Amino acid sequence: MAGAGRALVEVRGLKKHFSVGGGFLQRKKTVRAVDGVSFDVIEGETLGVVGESGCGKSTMGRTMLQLYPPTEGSVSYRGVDLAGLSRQELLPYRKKIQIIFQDPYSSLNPRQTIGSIVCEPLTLHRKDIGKKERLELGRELLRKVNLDQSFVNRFPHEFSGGQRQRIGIARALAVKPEFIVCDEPISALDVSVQAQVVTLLEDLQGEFGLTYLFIAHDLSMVRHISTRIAVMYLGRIVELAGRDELFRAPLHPYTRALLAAIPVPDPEYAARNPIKTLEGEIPSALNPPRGCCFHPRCPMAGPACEEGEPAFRELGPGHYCACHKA
Amino acid sequence: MAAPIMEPQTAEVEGITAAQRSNARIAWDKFRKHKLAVASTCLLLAIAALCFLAPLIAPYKFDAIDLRNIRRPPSARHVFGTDGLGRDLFTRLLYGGRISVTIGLSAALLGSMLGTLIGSAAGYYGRGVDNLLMRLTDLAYSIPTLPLIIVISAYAGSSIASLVAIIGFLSWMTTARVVRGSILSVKENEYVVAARALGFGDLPIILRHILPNIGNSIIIGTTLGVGNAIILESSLSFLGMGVNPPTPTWGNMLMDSQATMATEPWLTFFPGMAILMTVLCVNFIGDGLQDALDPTL
Amino acid sequence: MGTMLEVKDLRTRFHTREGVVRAVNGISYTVDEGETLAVVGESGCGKSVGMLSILQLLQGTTGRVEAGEALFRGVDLLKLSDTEIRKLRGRDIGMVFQDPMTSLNPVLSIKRQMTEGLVKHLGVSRREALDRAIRLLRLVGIPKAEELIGEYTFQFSGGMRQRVMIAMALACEPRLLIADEPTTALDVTIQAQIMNLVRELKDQFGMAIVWITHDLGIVANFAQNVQVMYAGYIVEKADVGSLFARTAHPYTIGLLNSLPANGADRRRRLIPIKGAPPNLRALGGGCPFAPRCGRAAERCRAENPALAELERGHQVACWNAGEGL
Repeated sequence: MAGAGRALVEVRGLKKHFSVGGGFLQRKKTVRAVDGVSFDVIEGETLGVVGESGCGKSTMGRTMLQLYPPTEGSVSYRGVDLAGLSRQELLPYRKKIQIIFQDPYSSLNPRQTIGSIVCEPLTLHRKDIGKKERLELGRELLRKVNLDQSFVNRFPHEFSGGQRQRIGIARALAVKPEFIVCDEPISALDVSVQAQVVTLLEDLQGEFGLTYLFIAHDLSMVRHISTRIAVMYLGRIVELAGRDELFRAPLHPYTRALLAAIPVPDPEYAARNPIKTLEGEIPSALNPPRGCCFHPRCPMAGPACEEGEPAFRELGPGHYCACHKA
Repeated sequence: MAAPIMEPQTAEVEGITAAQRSNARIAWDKFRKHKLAVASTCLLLAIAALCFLAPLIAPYKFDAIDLRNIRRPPSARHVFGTDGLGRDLFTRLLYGGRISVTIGLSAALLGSMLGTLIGSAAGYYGRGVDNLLMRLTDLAYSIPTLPLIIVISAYAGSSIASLVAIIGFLSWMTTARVVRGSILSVKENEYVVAARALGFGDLPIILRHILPNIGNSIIIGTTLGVGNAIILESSLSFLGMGVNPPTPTWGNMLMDSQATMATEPWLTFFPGMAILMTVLCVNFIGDGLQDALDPTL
Repeated sequence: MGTMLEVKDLRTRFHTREGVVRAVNGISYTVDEGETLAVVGESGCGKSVGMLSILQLLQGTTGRVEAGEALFRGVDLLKLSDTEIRKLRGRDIGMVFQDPMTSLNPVLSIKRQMTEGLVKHLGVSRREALDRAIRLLRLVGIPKAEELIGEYTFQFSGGMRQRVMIAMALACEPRLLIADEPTTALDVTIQAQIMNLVRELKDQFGMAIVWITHDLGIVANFAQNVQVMYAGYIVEKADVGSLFARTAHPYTIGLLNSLPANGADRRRRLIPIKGAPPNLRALGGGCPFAPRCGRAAERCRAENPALAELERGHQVACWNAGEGL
């Protein structure tokens, strides 16, 4: 599936199911949070992942990091399958792959000072250096994310959402990663602060040659930052294409519906292209529809869609889509 | 990108000087500001000092019977009065405190340590471990405490050490439940996920990210445990399983005085006050500790 | 067209332990019959507090309305007694909030919550009220309304709850609908459903709408007039076309520059606004945006500019506004 560059991460047939309930005398139910996704992340790119709440995008990101053991499938990093490695065996890859989070409040330990938060990764991954050097590196990291070095002795509650988000980014950068999963890093921030964080991420990518998996529900920001974009629905990737290609010629009816639902901040555009709505709601991942998971809401659905699950196939160069009608 | 650095709104001027201070020092400074906690610490230390220096301070011997002066109300000769055998209540209170305070504090600490250990394991590992440990907790709850203690102490004897062990091993359940509950919510925080993503093992995560954030529950559990342990010891003494007469403890003094509460109230009042003061002190110290350890205050 | 709501020089402060928070600092505006007004701003700019103030919904907080009038069809809302304002809320003024769970009662069925209001405010019979409630639920797109009306709100998804909320707000055919970020917690496809629904209902009932949001996309798609708020002040006010075409206040310009460019495949670099919003406990005498403004001059730091007409219907509070950009 590789495009122009070399694949850094190869995900094949990845599934993550959770069992819920199953108390005394209750039958266990299975939530198919991620239900068979395959894609590559190309070195140096930003792969955007969009989808609505409950589509499994965050679970997918965390399963790629082996924070949840995959139910099925493989995640290869530079050719090595991470699934099934022990904690010790994973350690070298933990340095390469990092994550930043959505909630600037729950992502920092309220009892740790900023210095301790940022330096903590070094206590595990840079055992060769002393406490003093670690703190020096910590200050350096704060500088990298445009925060004042004197913040090392302060506690998280003294900072605004945007500043906390940068501290989380500094922590992830401490181990010099190559690949960062950005799990909705801007969703909880105000508009002007979102732009601060996005430009910071862009700058860091340029400086360190980072590769991002950028998970978000805000399509316009994903469009801005991504090289390619994957659209998820009910635990599956329904469409994957280059950013411009996806916006110019979306193939999957769900992608089209998503694009038509974004309110564009331009009254002239809005007057010409009124928002269109997609009827119905997202079905439960406990009990996904048979056949194509989108067929109950799809304006184009035919009999074939209720029967077989559509294959995720390449319909144009680098443009993948899972739809019978596309 | 232009650096959007602003002074955080809550930043204090202290921020700069804080650079030279360690976390322990900051906590100590905050604890000192909690007046009630400081006063309680002093009082508790005073009580402990008085009790442990009893042989030097006490005006009488704790088992000196004086049949001409039984059940005397407080007077100049006997500041807290005398009991049914004419023994000086003040003296007995001092000696009794040695055992009660020791047992109260040690058993509560032991109990909450056990409870924290069990609750942490259950809450952090979840699933099978959780099920097993929580059913064990339910079981421990449902066994009537006193008969069990009687059986155990029949074998283990009634030294202070064995009493501490017995009471400690029978009072971990509440802490375990509270700790488990707090861990369930704390472990969902993204900083715990971040630590796992960095490759940290379970122990450092529990020690650094989870326990500090449930300190409040542990402190509350421990402070409640002190009172319970003192009372439990007295129940044991009452049943003849605890400390044997004539050695006094606050618990058995309180128990002995029950029948004569209406006629000789001082016999109930002073041991009761001693227990109350100790428990209150421990509670206020717990309050102060919670505040001192909370960086947002 | 008549004036539905006229707010004059509204000031609200919160008296907290750490000091006085100046949340709303003298805002004045009008809402005409049938108008859709969007109030835009980031968290803490006073856009919600302003609304809660005029509806007397700050009880239980440390917030106090210090000055101002809020004339709803000639009656000052701020002078009404508890009972009088309660009669007005829910009957003449409908409200929809961001989190429907906090405003719907989880232990009462939807039927009970909807019909009680109707019986109380409109004096109709229980039977009539039930019919009407079911009709409204159908109108907001709830399938099988006659069955679901007996259920409880926690059995609904976020989008469905928001619809129930809207149905309840519309139950008594209010003249004014106040919606405080009603779609912020929802996914885009559900947000689109709600927006289109409200638009249709507005055409049907002809009510005025005040829509509080931080999303300029919603503003462009939904409103006729906009006012931008910053640090408790209205800093710019215009019709939607004029605001986007001839944006005048540096803060509004900053907000628009923070957004990714639309259309074309250009990959313009975002231009964030420097710094963070001011501490509302320590507002100085100057323009509240001056510390973050690239064009701030001596005067901006010393004096706070008042709203002034830039062109017909377009007002801005900036000393540099008239001087071209």
